[in-house]
Amino acid sequence: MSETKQVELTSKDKVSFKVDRDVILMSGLVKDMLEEGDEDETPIIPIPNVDSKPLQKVIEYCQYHHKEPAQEIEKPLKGKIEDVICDWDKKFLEIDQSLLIELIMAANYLNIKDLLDLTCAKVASMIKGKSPEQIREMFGIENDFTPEEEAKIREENKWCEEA
Amino acid sequence: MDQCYSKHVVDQQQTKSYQRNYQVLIDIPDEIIIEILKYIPSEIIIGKCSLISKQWYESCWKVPFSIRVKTRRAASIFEETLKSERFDTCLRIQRLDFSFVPIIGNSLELISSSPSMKSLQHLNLTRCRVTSQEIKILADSPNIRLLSSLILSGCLIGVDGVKLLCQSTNFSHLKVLDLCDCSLTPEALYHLSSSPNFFRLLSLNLRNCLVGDEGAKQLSQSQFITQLTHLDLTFSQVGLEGIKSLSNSRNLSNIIHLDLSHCEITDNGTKQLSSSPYLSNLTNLNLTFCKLGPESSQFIAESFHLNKLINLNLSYCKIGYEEMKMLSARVKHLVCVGSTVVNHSVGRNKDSSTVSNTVSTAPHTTIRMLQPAMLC
Repeated sequence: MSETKQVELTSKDKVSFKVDRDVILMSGLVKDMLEEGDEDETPIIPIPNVDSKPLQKVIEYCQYHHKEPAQEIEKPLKGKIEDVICDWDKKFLEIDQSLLIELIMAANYLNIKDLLDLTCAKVASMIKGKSPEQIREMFGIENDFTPEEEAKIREENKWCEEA
Repeated sequence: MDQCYSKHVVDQQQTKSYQRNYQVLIDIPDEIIIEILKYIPSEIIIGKCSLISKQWYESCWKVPFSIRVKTRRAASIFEETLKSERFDTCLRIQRLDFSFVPIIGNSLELISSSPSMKSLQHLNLTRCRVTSQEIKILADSPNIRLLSSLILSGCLIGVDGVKLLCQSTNFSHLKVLDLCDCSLTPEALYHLSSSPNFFRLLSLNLRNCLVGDEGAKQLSQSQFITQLTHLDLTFSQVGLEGIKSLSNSRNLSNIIHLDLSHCEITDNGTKQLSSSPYLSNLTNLNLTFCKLGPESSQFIAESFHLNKLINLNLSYCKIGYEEMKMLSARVKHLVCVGSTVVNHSVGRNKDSSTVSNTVSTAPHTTIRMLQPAMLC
């Protein structure tokens, strides 16, 4: 019986994860790194930008989706994201907002397109029904416009409300 | 551009206090904001997301927009917007939909001269009262050069309009061309078929145009329109001769959707279609009101080539009872609204529910009969 080759990932907070090579090849970054290096028993790959919590989610995603490629999500989203993704993804996205944002960053850094699409679409879906003020609150973004600037933008963009 | 705000102006001190309050990251990089915005409809991007913060405001203008103009009033405001210097460098429009809003002469001239249109790929002018004059404006536009889809449904562009479509290189990237209800003639079809502009065309809608047998022949012999996957010839007056040309043409070898409803193609026409070696990719075939008798359903059911057929519409045609059983075993969705089921052999008294029961025993098959089929 041939053993599946494994890779060891080390997170920013120094937690190690052993993952099947086939699984983590979904990451463009890891794939490039593995192609460069020689075929060690179990290569250790440091992921210095990603904490263990999001990294664990990333691995969970890859373990499911390396055999079940995700369907492409329409741009722009017509309804809610829950209407267009599979049940597994729905469950996967039941996480708090800060982890969701960390997951986006991780997907971006590790170059996992499908995961980046999924998480960005999730955030988009959350934004859609909210006011600018609510969106700021949701992500802890500061309103750095002066009231005059804000009024000016509203004026500038009026055409779109009419359209 | 002084109107565009520079990034990273957020006061460091304030940033820290915010992080404490909300415990969420606030420094999402621009590239990720742009990725998120791609999933948000343009009107929400402009109306809400641009007001979140300066960083978001900047990112908003990096996303290609999809704009639907719903009223004449909205159209004038949109035109004003395009004129303003604020927008002409940063507003990029990918899709523009003017359906049912009359857009004539000056309006279109203004729109097509805006640099915002340089990335325009989809233009929907359904029932916008566009004539050959407006097509001329599009044909001469220095900006609208990458159109991949053009919907002119219900616009009376005439042969002159079609000639302009055929001549200007602005239309040489078209993959989708919708000329439904444009009252085109076989002459127009001749020009369409012989223009090198349309070598990328995948979908062609000629519904309600006078295509006729002659037009169908032109299409079949075209050296350029050779990759079609979708062809709509509903109400196009294509008859048996036209079907013969189409069935024998390599040009249809990629076709997936073929709509021939309301064309008088008769059983002989179905025979041609069923024996064509080029239609083996066909998944959707609509033959509603094609004056078909029970023989047609037999030809389709026994065809060696129509192997990929999934949706078959035989509404208002006569279908053989046995053939219906065969068909339902072969296609996934069989629609036969208002069809007459002819039973050649036994009992003439079966009611339609028996027919439904018999045919729906085939696995994975749905049969839609809104009005119960009649048994003769």
